[in-house]
Amino acid sequence: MTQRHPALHDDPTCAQVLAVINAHSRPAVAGMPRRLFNYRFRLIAGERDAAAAIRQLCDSGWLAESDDQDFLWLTPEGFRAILERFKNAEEEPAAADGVAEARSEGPPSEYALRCRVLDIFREAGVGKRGHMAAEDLNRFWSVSGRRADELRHGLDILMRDGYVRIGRFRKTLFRLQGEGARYLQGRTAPAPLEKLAKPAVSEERHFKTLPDESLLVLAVHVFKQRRALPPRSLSFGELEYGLEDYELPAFAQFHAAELLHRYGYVDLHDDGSLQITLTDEGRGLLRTADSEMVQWVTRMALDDMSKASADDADEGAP
Amino acid sequence: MSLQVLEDVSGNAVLNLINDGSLSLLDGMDALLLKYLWRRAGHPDRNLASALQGLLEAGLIEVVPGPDMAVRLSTRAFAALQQAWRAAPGSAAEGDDSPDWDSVEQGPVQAGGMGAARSELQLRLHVIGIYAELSVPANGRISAASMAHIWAQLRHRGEELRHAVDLLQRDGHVRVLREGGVAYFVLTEAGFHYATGRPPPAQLIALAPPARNQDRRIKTLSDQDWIDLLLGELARAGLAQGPDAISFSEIESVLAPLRLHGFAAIHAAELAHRQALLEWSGASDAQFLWLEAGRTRARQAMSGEVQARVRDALLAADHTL
Repeated sequence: MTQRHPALHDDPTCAQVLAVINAHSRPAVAGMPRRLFNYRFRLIAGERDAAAAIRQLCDSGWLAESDDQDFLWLTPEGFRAILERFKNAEEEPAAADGVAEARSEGPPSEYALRCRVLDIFREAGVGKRGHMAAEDLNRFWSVSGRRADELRHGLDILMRDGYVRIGRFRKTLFRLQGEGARYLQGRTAPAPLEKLAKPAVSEERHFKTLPDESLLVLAVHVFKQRRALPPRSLSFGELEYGLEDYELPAFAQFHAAELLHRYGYVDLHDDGSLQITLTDEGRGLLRTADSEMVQWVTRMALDDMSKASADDADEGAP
Repeated sequence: MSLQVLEDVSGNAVLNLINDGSLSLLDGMDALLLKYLWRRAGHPDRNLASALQGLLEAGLIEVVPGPDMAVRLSTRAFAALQQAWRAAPGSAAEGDDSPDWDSVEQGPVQAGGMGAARSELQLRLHVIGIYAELSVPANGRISAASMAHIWAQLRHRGEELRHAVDLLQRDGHVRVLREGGVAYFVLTEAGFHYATGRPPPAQLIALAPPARNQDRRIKTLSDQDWIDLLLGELARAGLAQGPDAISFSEIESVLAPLRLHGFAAIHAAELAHRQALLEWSGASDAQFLWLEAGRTRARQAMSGEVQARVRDALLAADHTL
């Protein structure tokens, strides 16, 4: 069975729109939800806008939309047209449908998994305390062409970090928690920072970790300990090294650094080694982090984490 | 949702299956998957053949050229089904719009929350069940794409198919063959023998521990070696001659000194049950009953020749921890 099709339309954007509808309509005659379409289209076409192509295809009677524009489907005329084109054309390498690229990126980092799953919540229009059914998450993930076990891994990470909560009702639902919604609104990591994220480790998905606010407090304290207040900066390696004093697992060290950037507490400069400088907001966080109450809460969180690690080690002992 | 577009019940059912299970509009539906879903729905094979013939002649479906046989909807069938779909009452969201999250226990974070981890036995049975349902003979094959398509239609997780195929390869039940850029899963003689054995009862399946990633690609024993190992050890412990019943705990105990992997006891016991050497008693304390063929095999397993073969197999396997 082949999935390599000739271009289904002379216009490249229309061809991509039709390729997505052809591949992901379930049931075949029903079409697909517009949000699912948007997600898939963005993965293969980047920021290219499908709206004009969809309008053109609707005007020519190949596609139809529901009144609320939540659903998109191929009409019988559209199906006839792409079928004829498909039969008449010689097999030729099709426009890449994204699957191969998505699977050839190597093992993803926790950062990548976290962003990919949260991206689905964003694309599906799920906000703080909103939820998505497991089957819908699966459908989005499957159209991305990524490996199914990575969705599990990503969800485990999000649940571990308190970004998402699972509820087993008539359907299994995943609810976006406040911390997850906040994370989604923050800045994405620039490429030099993202490159420093290590591949996700399966066992670490169930580790007890610190809440984001405690990670931020610890990370900003490293700047104080290393006397790296502006205009001085820290390298990423120095920040990691400083965080090791708290016996944080490697994934949490990167997460702490990424959170600092995401929430605007640091700026990054890449001059061969990534340099990190506290912003004014970062200095404000440092002042807050110095309060006795925050120190106490952070110590409690660290104690909880150490105790959970020790319990896990005891359980694993022969 | 089944759509009514044809008077002929079988033809209508086939159109609905293709509509629901097509890989894409143009690629249509794998014929093996169609056959599998047809049989699972309890329809006789002959009805499928005649329905397909009728649909082809009526120009409602087309054969898709390619390495695997597939069929897709014609434009006529597409138009009829779509009209029926649009006319059908909307399948509104089924509840859960505002669930009571406070009533849900958070509990420990586990395994993605998409269902409990399955055992090796469950994974093996799912794949072997597909071969059995399709009546695939020894050395018959199913393409990896078809298998993945069937697996997805059964709503199993994709990662579990990889795990299951690894297990079946490890145990010698399936081998992977690549031909002209297409991968096939070939059912071996041992796999066919396994598939035609007695299926385990649910209580026995429930005893199996969750499958572990680290066990999926190790070198292990053949089915015959597992059986001879288990029955030989039971005989050596004096459990093959005396009582009619042995518990699963006793099976675990006799294998424990060998320090085998966690799946060993249930795998060996299931094989012995499957080949009608032991019988699951259905008793609440997880008991097996000796069958006469089992006692005979146990005596043979005590012979020097068999013991030497099993010992060699154990030495060659990645079993000793």
